[in-house]
Amino acid sequence: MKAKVSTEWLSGCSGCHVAVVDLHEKLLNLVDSIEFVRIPVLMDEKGYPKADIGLVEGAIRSEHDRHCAEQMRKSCDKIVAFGTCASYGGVSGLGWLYRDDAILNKVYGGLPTTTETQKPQGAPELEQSVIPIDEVIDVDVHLPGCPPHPYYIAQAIKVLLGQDGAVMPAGTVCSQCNRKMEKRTGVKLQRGAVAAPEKDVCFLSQGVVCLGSVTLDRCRAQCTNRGVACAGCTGPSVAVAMEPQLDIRSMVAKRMSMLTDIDQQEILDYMAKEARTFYSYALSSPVIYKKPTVEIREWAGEKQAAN
Amino acid sequence: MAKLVIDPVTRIEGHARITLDIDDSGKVEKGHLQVLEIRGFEKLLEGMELFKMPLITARICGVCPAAHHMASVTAIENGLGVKITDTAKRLRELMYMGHILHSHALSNFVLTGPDLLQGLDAPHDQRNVFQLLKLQPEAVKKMLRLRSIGQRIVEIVGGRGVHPVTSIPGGLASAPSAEEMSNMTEWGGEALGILDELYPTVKGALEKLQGVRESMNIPYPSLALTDNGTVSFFQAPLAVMDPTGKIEKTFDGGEYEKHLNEHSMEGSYMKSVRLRDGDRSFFVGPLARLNINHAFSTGKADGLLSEYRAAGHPRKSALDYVEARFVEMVYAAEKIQELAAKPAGEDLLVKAEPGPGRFVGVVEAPRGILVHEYQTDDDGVLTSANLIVATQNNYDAIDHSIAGIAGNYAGSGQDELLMSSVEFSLRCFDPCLACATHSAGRMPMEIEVRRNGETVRTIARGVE
Repeated sequence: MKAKVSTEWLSGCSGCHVAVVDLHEKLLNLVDSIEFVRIPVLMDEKGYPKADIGLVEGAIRSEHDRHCAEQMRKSCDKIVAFGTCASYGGVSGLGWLYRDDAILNKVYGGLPTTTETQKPQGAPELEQSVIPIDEVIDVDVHLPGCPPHPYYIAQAIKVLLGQDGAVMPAGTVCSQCNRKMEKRTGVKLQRGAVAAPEKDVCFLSQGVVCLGSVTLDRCRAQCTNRGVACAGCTGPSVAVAMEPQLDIRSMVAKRMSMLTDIDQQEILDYMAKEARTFYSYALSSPVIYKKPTVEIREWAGEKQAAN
Repeated sequence: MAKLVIDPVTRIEGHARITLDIDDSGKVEKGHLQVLEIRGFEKLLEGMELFKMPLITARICGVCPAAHHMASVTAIENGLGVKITDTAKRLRELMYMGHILHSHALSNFVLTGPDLLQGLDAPHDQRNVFQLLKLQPEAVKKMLRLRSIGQRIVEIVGGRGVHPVTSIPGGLASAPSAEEMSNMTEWGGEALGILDELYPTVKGALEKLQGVRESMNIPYPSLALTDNGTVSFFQAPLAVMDPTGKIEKTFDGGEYEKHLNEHSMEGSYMKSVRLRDGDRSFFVGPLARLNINHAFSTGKADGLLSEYRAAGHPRKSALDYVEARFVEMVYAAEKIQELAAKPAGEDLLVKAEPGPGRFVGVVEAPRGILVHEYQTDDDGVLTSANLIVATQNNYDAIDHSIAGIAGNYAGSGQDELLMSSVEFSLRCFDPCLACATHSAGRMPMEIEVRRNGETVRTIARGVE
């Protein structure tokens, strides 16, 4: 009997679904052991058939998203929060910082090319905020990643099907990164940088903020191994997610100041000032914003905050 | 079993909807696509660091992240006045040709393929790529292979398949290995071979759809980048061609806001884009590119383009998007072969530092003109952003085409065929609703038929 898999797509970009197709020829092997009973990107929607595994991509942005998430929960034995948006809100979670009006006023009146000053008539109302799906339904497994590497998608399905030997490692991006951490002196904090000159040396040693050490590996460190510092798109590492007192900003600042002679406070101040950049993928999740050491709303601009 | 509900159903948020306005005689007066969700990236990007834009704006869309990645890095380099090396330019183009191959193959074969190969009258629950795989396994595996080749190239050069990262301000963060370059050259050849084999199939499928061709005509000007008549995907002026085939004007991407404006549309979070001059609708994408340009720079694609143009110029039917995409895939495959044949090179990056300014980048996304604009403060942090994406540019054309094709079936009582054909005409544009409202959206499954503004009935499928 093939295991039945159902997928849904809420407020996101469809990239997690494309990542499934990016299993390439391995997808055909996967299709030998599972049957997609619902995959809206590829098949016409047919309600919510019963399934063993439900993959839910995207965050909750509207009442409709909430409704779809609930339908998925009802129809699937196991629900996977598929990707960073579903797990932590993702980039669209930045909408959590604003009242809806601020976004709509900008998009429908505050741009060089807009001609009207009102949002479109008759379009449906949005929820006040953008939230991860586990705020709305019970989730059995979180598979964050923006998108998760196809390798981990296949692994996750194998684990859920109880196949022998399949495991989901709990390491950080550093565990897959080929760069070496080295103590350096005379290094300055490289504000706003995304790359560093030495390709075999840790970004932190070179003064570039890289979130690899505080980010879960669901990516096989593709960015850092191809020359770009980690932006934290998978969301927090297991340690950060589990321990309230640990935060990405304080951990990165500490590690970076140990690897260089940059003052820890300088890094802390910089990351607080640029909180929108460094917390962009997970800030609408209580896992992050409820931490006693995190003041996202204050850092990212209290005056525009919702609620 | 096809499940067809012809009944007023409760309005369902999150689905894209289509409304058809009919007059008393039953003639379709207007068709309208409504997209019902929004993320609002223009606002979300405010307060973020400039150099993170090529990474974060890719997240607007999982199907065409490479286009946003390129528009973004192009904008930044334009604003900073940075000239990248020829090596970086060539490798970026290699990635982009992979992207075009992936995106066009996904559209023509995976999404529209079932309509083309199984026909508009095939039962809707049978009309999908999995079913097609059962019916024509060899052909479909080749189609999927084309997409895979394209996406693997994005992954190798861009660092990741979905949401590539290596194009950073100043050039490229890393280069493929010699072995990877050699693999990509080989794949370019393989893709060409597959396209050769598939050509008769695609032509044959399009032949069968000639009956709906004229009803999908779009009486609007074309808008595309042009390098003096040669197709260009980045860094070239924009040209407007009127429906008779005359170039009306050209303008520089940096002045996009003087030539384009946006309108809110009824019941929809997607804005429509028009030419300011006369507030006129237009269309973009492969159809517009091949109307405005008469050459690529590779042999086979140039040959196909001549044939394509000899059969009619300018092309007007949304149906022609399918053929235009095919021609562009041939170009992408040839270009991949050419670009990957040389060693990758090592001069990847020149110095670039974030700072204050205005940054505008215009590229040809697979679906057409894509604009990114940012403004920054002294720290190089965004104070504002504006985004115009391809599907928005095509909004009026999509509405026009929906009405056109619906006119064939609206009074016929053939609701299943009406829905299939409306969906098909929409798919011809390869619409990307994720991009278009910078939000998620689905293919429409609900059509509202209105007479004098009153809902006469709603046709829906598979809604629970």
